[in-house]
Amino acid sequence: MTAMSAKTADSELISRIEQFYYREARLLDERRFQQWFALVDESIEYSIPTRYVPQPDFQKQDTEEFLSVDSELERAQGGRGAPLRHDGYLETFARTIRPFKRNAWAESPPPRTRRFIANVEVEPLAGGEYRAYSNFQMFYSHNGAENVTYTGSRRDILKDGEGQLRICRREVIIDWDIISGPTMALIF
Amino acid sequence: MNGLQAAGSQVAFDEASLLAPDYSYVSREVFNSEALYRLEQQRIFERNWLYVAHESQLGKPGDFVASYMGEVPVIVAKGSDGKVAVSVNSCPHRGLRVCRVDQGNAARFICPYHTWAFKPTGELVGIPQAQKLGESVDRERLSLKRVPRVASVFGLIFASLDPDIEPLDTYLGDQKFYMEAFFDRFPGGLEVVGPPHKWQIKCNWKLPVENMLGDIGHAAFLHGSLVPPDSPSNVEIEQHGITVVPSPGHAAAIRYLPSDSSPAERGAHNPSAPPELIEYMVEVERTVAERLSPEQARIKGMALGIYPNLSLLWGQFTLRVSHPRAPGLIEYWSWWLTPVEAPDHIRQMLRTGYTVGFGPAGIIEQEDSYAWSQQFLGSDIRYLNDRPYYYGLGMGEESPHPELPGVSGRCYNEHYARSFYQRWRADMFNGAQS
Ligand code: FES
Ligand SMILES: [Fe+2]
Repeated sequence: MTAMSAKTADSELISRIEQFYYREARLLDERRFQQWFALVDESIEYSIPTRYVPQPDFQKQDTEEFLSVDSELERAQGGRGAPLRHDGYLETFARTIRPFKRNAWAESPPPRTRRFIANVEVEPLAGGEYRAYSNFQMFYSHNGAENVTYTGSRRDILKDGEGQLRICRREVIIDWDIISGPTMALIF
Repeated sequence: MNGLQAAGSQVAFDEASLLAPDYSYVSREVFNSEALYRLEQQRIFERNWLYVAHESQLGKPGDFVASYMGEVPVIVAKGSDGKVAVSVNSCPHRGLRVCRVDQGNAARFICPYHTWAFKPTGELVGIPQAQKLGESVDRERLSLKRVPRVASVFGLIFASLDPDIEPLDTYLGDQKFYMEAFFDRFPGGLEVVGPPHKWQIKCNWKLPVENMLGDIGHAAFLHGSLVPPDSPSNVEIEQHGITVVPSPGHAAAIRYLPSDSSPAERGAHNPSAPPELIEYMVEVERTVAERLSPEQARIKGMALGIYPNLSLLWGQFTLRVSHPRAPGLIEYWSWWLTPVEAPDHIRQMLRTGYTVGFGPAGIIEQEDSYAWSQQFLGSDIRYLNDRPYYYGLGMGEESPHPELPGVSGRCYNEHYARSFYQRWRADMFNGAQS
């Protein structure tokens, strides 16, 4: 993990980003996916690495590297990796528009979701961009008694433009190696 | 044999009430019965060839992947002799798993409990306590149990727990014609990328298998929000789509395009794909007729199923295995396959084609897994045991294909599923030692 940037965010900025996340979560829980999509920058890279259990590198014993979460993540690596999901703007759009179709059978009637966003950390970057870390917990209830809790963290790059924050990059680190909820085709 | 007693259970099955003689009806119990599920583990998963890994995952000696054969955990590893060995992942001392990770390269596996050491290919290397006691041990007997049969075809590694099983070649028979049409289509071959995408689905293991054996007609219905019935791709499926069964249990769901169809028609699997990707696919099509055969060139595939639980989605480049866990639970493993020689930007586009629609985060497959788990809930309604599921669509329409190996039925004919259950019945109830 990288050390905290020398630049620290003031509380006003942190609060602004937290408010952005709460609003985002509310829009998604209220199924206002198109309003949520307006918060997405056209350059979006929305990815969910595959989480797996690799053979540990014994050379790294007794160092933090030995237990690094990053070593458990299969990322896109150009075209050399197999993440669960690696979407651009168009794919993100497809995911937000589909649930509104009457014959989107898996989501019609829709699941009930409740997102909780916490552990927000903000690092200002150059050019009006921010790196932000957060944790999420999403309660998902569907088909009567199907109740699941998704948990994970998010590593975002947010961009400030015309007084509006937008998501440029989101990486979702899920806590499951074997996905135990009905679908990962949700917005985290 | 009627009224067969399932091993270790008090339930007696009347075979005749499970399946209609022509397989036009299949009982709900075939999916939800615990006793049948237990019997399947012995009579299907211990007696057939099962897919365990892809050769591209085992490049050098010491490379290994953890896999399953039914419920049996196995390690598939490349030995120092370059040969692939499959052994059961359970310590001969007290049964712990000795390989506790998904994949990698290792010199040894060390069992946590008393640290007996094993090669990735299963041979016992040492027992620390025996050394201290000055005892010698029967290394052969105390190695991991070796899976008796391993064989590869088209880069796919299969294994069988049955030492007397027929050779893989005979087992696949004419299905190899359809496998070749996909796995040898791309010059340079295909490779599996990364670890599999794994998820639990609350369904019976046979449902995903059945779906990818030949349920080519469901797309416009279940996936109607994404593939509307009047879309050009669905019109093409209704016009040219067939399912071919070379032998019961295996099947290929394909579009068999006219002999004068162009490489452009054959290569455009997803008309809304980026132009560079379509161009790449079309370029591949230009040489298929010479490299394979004119008939294989006309195949625009959709899915392949290899009995009992391996499936391939052709246009989405994904290979998958339905691992049974309980009558109503599977662990579904899905790998992204890609042409070895495809340039990086093409690989990225192919991956998008897979992950947006399929795998645990796919918006198409989310509907399949929904349907499969709902089917299990329906199968669990005991009151409806007198109302078996209807599998009779298209009955009798199927016939030997004039140009391709196997019996062919048009889109919506469910003969591929009827022949799957024919094979299933033979495995479960014929020649069974009671
Ligand atoms: S259980 Fe494996 S060493 Fe004892
Ligand atoms: Fe489907």
